[in-house]
This record gives sequence, structure tokens and C-alpha cells, in this order.
Amino acid sequence: MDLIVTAGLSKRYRRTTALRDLTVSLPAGGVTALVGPNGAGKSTLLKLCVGFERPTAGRMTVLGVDPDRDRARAVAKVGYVPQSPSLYRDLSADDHLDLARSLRPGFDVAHSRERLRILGIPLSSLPRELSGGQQAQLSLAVALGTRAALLLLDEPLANLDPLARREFLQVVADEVRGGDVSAVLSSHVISDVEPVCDRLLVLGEGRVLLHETVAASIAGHRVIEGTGGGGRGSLVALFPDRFGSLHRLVRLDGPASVPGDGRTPTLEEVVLGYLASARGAGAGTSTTIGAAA
Amino acid sequence: MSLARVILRPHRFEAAGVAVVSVLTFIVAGGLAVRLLAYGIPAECFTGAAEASCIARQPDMTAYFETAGVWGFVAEAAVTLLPAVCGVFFGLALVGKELDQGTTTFAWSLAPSRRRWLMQRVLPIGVVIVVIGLAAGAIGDLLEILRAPGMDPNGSLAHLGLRGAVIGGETLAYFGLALLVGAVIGRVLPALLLAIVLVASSFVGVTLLTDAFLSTETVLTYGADGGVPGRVVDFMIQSPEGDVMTFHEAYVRYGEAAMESPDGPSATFRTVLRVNPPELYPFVVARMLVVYSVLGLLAIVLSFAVVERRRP
Repeated sequence: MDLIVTAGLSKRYRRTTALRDLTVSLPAGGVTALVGPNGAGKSTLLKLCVGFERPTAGRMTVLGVDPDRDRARAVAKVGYVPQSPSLYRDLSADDHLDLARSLRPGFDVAHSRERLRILGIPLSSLPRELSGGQQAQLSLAVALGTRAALLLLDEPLANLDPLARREFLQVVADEVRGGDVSAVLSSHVISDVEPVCDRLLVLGEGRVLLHETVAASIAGHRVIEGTGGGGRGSLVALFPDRFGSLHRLVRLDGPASVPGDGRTPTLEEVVLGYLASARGAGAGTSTTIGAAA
Repeated sequence: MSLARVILRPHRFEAAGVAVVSVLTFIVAGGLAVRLLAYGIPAECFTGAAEASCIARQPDMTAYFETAGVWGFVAEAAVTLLPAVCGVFFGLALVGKELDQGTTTFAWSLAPSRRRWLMQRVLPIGVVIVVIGLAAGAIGDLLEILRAPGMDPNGSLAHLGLRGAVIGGETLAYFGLALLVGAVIGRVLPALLLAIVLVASSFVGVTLLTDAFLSTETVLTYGADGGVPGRVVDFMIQSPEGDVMTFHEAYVRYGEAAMESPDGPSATFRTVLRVNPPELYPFVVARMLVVYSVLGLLAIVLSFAVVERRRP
């Protein structure tokens, strides 16, 4: 069964549109990186999954359940880690697990405690006594204790230092590899999630820009230096490297074995290219969007 | 026990506040009751008996009424405020504060049923504060007896809404209103201000409603000095023809003659009192209790609906 299926899903707030006619189907298994700039609609998509928001138009299912129609069943199928840990400041780590047990039928306290023990987080500690990384780990431990088939991780790495990010991702990777658990991990920094993700869903301005496996994303594109001609396939976008030089990201139509097809991109370059294409489309420029090479 | 701890611990400030205010109220009211009873003045002295033993206790009676007047006011104010403090403190905390602090994101992402999440909190805390309200009401009744000795507290219809079982209903109403305001607004400070306005409005509204009912639930009785059981609503006058009218109407119709010593030995006009009979008291209290309880329960039901639909 697919993890998340959307059809024409839109979400409008008073002044902004977070998701526009989103149609996508995320298959089960592994870690899906949900990538996009701030305001791309990543958090909105995850909040729709857990019933925190209601769609303006369109439909969606989470593990076969429509969260708008049957939020209770949808919530029961997911473990959610929000962007900033929404912990009770007066409750210890162990109290949070007790509270979770009272709220969630079948909550596996022992599993969560074991995670915290491995990470060296004292059960008696209050959130204010924990670092940002440890608070995120506590949130993750609670989500893991739900034993849900789907983990929704909403930019949990945003405020963590590099070591804490690595530890967090390691726990996610261990859990996904060790059981029948899938995860959707949102981030606006691709390098954060690249080490663990198997699949990539790039959102830009509320639309799907790219959705495929990481391996296919890299194998299916080429970076060609400069802005001139050459290469086979469709131009995705022109994008600047870190020194400001423009490159072309090209989506291959066939095998890349011809000289002049350029080099294999990094995952970050693929994402950058698609984000640049969305920005170009949004700004109405003619230089960056899908002209045939 | 563990569940009660994890539910109450995030609201320990409110729990401590309610506990302190409750204890202070019971100390002031209970202390006053003990002090007044300690005078040991026989009940018949309060009924105007001119026995020698009562005359000898006159200084004690003066002290009694001074104490009852000053401290009775303080105790009555405390009893009146207690339901508002209990209701507003806990009502705002259970949803409004959690929304404000973002902890509903944690709870609602785990709880398949938000209804159950709210019920786990509303039911035990609601029961506790209603019990506190009922206890305060009982103390209010005791104070009424001690402050106005000789008057039947279950028939005087005095201080309605400030004593008796009504206080339990008020506590439930204020709790429900604060719960609803917190759930709708989701920010503690603005919700607190609005809750205070709503609590005051509901008290005034129910009092006015009760007065409106009571103004129609009267019987006519003779008694120039007003010393009749029940609650005097109006003084009126009865003409020689037997018509009952206001003094103004009597003056317009009969002139000065109507005003000349009614009820005198040769008077043709008689003063008539429009009173709420004392046997009305249980019915009035029950009606106020129902009004407050329905208001509270309605607000709680609406809070559940809001929690079910809103974002964390």
C-alpha cells in the first residue's frame, strides 16, 4: 500500500497558497526526502497527513485512510515529529512516555525508553535540561514508540548542530532498516537528508517538481558546464554553482554515453536545478525552464 | 496515579493557585463561623426576646454583629470569587494554555481521539472544582445563618447566587466558558481577559434573569413594616375599593388622602406587599443551578467541537 496518495490536493491559507493541485503517490518503504525551499508546502503536506490541517481542494490518503474524513484512523497510523519539539516543559522524558501511553493505544514505552537509553538521555530530565538535539531525539523516541508504519518528520533537523543531525538520522535509518517502517523526512537542506534517503520528492511553490528514487534522480540527469548548447535531453534549468558560474541541468532522454553529455550531478545539484526551474517559472523568466536542448 | 500526575503536572501553577485560594476562603469563612459561634449567644436573643439574660449579652451581640459585618463581607467576597478563580484558572489551562505553548501538537499527533484527550482532563478536574464550589456554597449558607440569625436561610431568598448549591453551578459555568474561550482563542492572555468579561456577564445575566422571573412570581400580603417571610419585591397600596396599585397610581387617583397614614386604625387604604414566598426558595435555587449548569455544559460541548476541528 502506498504511504501517501494525493489527487489534486490544494491548501490555501488566507493570503497564500501552500499546495497547488498536488498529485503524487509515495510508495512504501525506505526514507523519502521531502525537499523544497521555505514555503514550498512541505510542512503543510505533513500536517495534512496527520489531520492538523484540512485540504482546500482535492483528496489524499495516508496508508489508505483519508485524514480529512477519518482523522482518528489516520493519526493512529503515523508517528509525527514536528519542526520544533512541542514538549511539556514541566514533564520529564519519562513523563512524556507515560503521557504518550495514555494517549496512544499500544504505545511501546519500552521501545522508546531503550532508544533514550542508547542515546544517553536520562529519563528524569526535563526538556529545559536537554540540548536541542536531545529534545529532537525525545520527540523521535516518542514517535518511534507509536510503532507506526509511517514516520512523518517535519524538518526535525532545522535547529540541530551537525553531530546532533547525524545522530538523529542514524536513529531514523536504523528504525527504517530494522522494521516495517517508512519515513518521510522533510528538509530544505538536501545535504542533511541525502545520507539516509532512498526517494526524493521535491516541492516548489506548492507543486511537485521531481519525484523519483535518489538513484534514478542522479542517473537520469547531467550537468553541463556553461550556458551553451550540447547534450541530449531536456533542459531543466540553469543554476549557479557556489562560485556563481551557471550550469545546465539536463534530464536525459536516453543512456548518457555520448561525449558532451556532461557529468553526473550530485543530488544537491539535481534539487537545485529543479528549484531554480520553479523559481524561474514563478518569476516568469525564460532562461531556466524546460526548453529542449 | 501516574496518569493524574502527568495530566496535572503541566497545570501545577493553576492547581496551586486554586488550592491556595480555596484554602484561604475556607480559613476565612470557617474562622469567622468558629468566631461567631464562640460568642455562645442563645438563638432566642436574636429573635428580639427581651429576657434579662439576652439584655445582659447586649455587648456580646454588638461585637457579634460587628465581626459578622466586617469579616462576613470578606468571607462572602471570597466565596463569591472562588468559583470564578477555580473555573477560569483550570478552564483556560486545559486547552488554551496548551495551544499557547504548542503542546497540543505533541498530544494531538499521538491521540487518535482528541475527544478522549480532552475528556481525560475535563472530567476529573471539572468534578473536583464543582465539589469545591459546592463546599463553598455550603459555607456561604452557614455564613448566611450566622450573619442573619433568626432568619431562615432556605426561605429568605437573600444573597441568591452567593451561597448554596448555585455556587457549584456557577463553578461549572465559569469553567466551561473559560475552556471554550481558551479553545477558540488559543492564547492565554487575550483568553483570560475575554473569560473574565464572560464570567462577569454570565453572573450579571443570570442574576437579571432570576430577578425578572422573581418579579412575576409574587404573592400579595398585608404588612406595613415589611416583616413578612420571603423576599419583598414591592410595596403597594390597596384602595378602599380593593384595587391594588402603586403609591404613585394611588396618589394620581386619590390625591393626598391615599398617603395619609395607611394601615392606621381609621385608614381606608392598606399597604400591600408583593413578595416572593419563602417556599419558592428551593425552586429558585434549582432554576439558577440548572441555568448555570446548562450554560457550563453547553460551553464544554462547544469546546469539544472546537478542539475536534481546530489546528494545534
